[in-house]
Amino acid sequence: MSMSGVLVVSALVSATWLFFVLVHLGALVLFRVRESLILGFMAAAGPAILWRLTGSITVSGEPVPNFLKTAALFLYWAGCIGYVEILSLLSRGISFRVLLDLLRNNGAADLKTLSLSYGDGMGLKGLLAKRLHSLSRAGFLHYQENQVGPPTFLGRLFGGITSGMRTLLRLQQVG
Amino acid sequence: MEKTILISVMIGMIVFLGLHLVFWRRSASNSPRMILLTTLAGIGLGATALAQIFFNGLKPVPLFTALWIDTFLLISYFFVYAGVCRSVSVTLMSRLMRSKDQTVDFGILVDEYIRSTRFEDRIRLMDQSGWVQLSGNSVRITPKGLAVARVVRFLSRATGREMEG
Repeated sequence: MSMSGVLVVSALVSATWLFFVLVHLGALVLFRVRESLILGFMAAAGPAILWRLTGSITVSGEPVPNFLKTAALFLYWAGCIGYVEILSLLSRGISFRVLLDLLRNNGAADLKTLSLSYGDGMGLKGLLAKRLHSLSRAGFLHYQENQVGPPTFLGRLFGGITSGMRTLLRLQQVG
Repeated sequence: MEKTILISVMIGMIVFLGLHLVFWRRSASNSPRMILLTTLAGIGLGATALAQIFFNGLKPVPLFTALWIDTFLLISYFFVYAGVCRSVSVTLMSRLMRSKDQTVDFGILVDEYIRSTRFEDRIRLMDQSGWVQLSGNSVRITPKGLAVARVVRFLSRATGREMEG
């Protein structure tokens, strides 16, 4: 199979990805469906459709080889991960939130005001409480009233791996 | 051919991760250094392509198969790295695991976080990116920051979400 076959498969990957992004956005904006459901559907149904599409075409009389079809799935999933990362930044990005807070405050503020009014007034305390609730919902730790912890097995595993990576990459003063 | 594709992908990832580790271990930094990381990812993809050309010549199918799998692994790593690098949740988990009985009072956690320089560090990084201007304790948004804020606000609304932070 020549370069034209590769280009056809890349076009199919892009079209499938774009279709599911539009379905996701449409479902979010119009129907307020639970986000994780649509993202799960995007990650599972997209590859199924893509596999059928690439299996049904021939380029210059040749079918698409199985390993290129498999790689097309990986490329599609790469697009899904990139999309999820952008969505996550758009809802939880701290630097972006600070910019929006500054915008609401006529473009200027001192550091203390920024930290107290962070996130439309929730402050850094609100930010930490929000993250702890998310971690608790995800099953990483126990969080009741004022007591944080202990972490669950999953939390210890997550904490161990991520702390280990921070130490290995010398990323101690972040987050 | 499948075996050579896997070997090429592994070579690309080893080159990328090896260089990443060397650069990051050499100097500690608060900055996520995304431009450098992206350059290293490009070098990794180049290594995959070179290995594939060495094994199979300039055949487009095995070459792009290797490059697409490599792209998936690199994007996945970027996703994990972004979390490890900037996530408040990761900071909270590692703090919790350092405490004696792995529990801590919420008030203490908040107090420690506010007293640390983590928030200021973030503002300083935003200053380095040209999004804000930090002078003393005063923070002012720059025209570049204003443009970013407007794009973020637009995208948040377009994707039907609230920018919560």
